Amino acid sequence: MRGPFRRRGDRVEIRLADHEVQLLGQLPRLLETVGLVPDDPAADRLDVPVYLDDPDTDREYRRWIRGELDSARAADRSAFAELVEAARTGTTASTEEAEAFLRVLAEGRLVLAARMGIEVEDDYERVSAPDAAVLDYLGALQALLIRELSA
Amino acid sequence: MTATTPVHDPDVADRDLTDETWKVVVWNDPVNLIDYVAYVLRKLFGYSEQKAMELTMRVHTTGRAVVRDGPREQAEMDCYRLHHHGLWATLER
Repeated sequence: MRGPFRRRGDRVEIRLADHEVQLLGQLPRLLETVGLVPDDPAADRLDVPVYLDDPDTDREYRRWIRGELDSARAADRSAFAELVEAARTGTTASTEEAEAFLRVLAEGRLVLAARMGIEVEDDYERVSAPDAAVLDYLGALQALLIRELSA
Repeated sequence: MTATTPVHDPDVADRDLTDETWKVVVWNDPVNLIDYVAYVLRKLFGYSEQKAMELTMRVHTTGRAVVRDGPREQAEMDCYRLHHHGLWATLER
């Protein structure tokens, strides 16, 4: 059984089945909703404090970094969306593009887990089987891609 | 890796950027995979596979680990890069 990623020199070949393209194609749109929903726990997970004992400095730092972080995440999601669509027939990604793909998978798991109410490891016991399967699928893709990037 | 450099806000640049050493702490979370955290530490800081995994397991088993230290400006940039990868990092002296 082969995975969707395969190292080809300094690039990574990506090939996804149609149903995977349909599923993963929803991820960037999902991530764009973060912060637009009232009391969204995912927004807190993506905008974490840095200076725990100094709220004023923390606010200043996050104000400084917010725009760049938003831009970087948007660029990752854009790269991800293009790669997913192209992967329907097979495509190759540079290491930088593959790492953007990896970051979006990580961001997707964080956002979904936050909205499922997962804050500590024991919370996985309360998650429904379909929800857990989505997290597991995205995690499996991460593991497979890391393996190829490390090859 | 995409070189994303935050624009340095002059107001921020003028604040205390002494030679004091700041620690970059990564905290355990129940979502990020161990292999992913180790990969990020290798890529961002150039650590060996063994060192990256040791730090990752320290995060996993004790709840946190100091993954790097240095001047404040460097530590803040490290934090930014870790957050970009979805890890929860904080700074402390």
